[in-house]
Amino acid sequence: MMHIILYELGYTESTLATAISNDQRTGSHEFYINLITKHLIAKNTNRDDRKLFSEEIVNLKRLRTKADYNDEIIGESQGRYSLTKATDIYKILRKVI
Amino acid sequence: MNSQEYLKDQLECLVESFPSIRIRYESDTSNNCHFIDVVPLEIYKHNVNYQQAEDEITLDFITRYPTENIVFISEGGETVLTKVDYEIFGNMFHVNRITAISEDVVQHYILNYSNQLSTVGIFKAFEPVYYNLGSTLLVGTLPVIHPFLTGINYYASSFQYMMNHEDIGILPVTPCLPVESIKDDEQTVLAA
Repeated sequence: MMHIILYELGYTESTLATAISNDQRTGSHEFYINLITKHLIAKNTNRDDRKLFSEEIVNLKRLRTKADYNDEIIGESQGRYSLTKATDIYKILRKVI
Repeated sequence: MNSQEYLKDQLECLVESFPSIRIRYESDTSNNCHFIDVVPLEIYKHNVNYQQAEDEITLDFITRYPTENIVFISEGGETVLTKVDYEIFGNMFHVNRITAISEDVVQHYILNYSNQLSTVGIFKAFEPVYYNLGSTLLVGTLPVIHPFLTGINYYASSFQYMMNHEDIGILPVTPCLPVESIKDDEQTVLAA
């Protein structure tokens, strides 16, 4: 995703940092996801692909929050699920961008 | 106005524009994400005007709140809402769900499948109820109780899905409005 944001959308590290810091709330990941979402809509990307991206990336984000911040064990099945989701998202982005 | 208040306004407008939909909203604050579940699937997947409106809300929302995510989902997807914050539906929502069956189809079902279904116990209770409104035959049901989901009331679209999946044997049941949530005046209209 960062590759797309930097090289496809033309952001730089500093413009990204400025844009995110202008918003008082935390959420760089959310910001990046929204940039991609906007881009997919603007490019009139196939709706099914867009829906899949937005749903799966958020589900992946939830798992990441659970793994990093919650006192919960992430088992093998959820680990595999995450890998599958990440692969799905990668495939969608490769296909549409 | 915070993002939830803003979104609620937008979703109310969406339901006004598309009165045959139901929206369930859930906010996941720990992930800065807003989930919006829209049914029926037919509109979510095939209504171009709806899709355009959804895109507009999405773009507007992420422009206003760039560090929060918004996801529209529908039936059959992977994401299931577990703590719905609120639900809104248009005044055509359930009516729309029960008008799509022709009288011929109903008769066909009654003649060929009702006994079979009750025998195999797919439904503990199923009884079609007819509301004849001029040329339109509305078909509703008494509360249909799926044996595996006892206590949850379904109506109307269960019947529709039966017809669509009659070959399968085990019938997917789509949760609709709980019967008790139908307003009294709407029931009166249907029964008239």
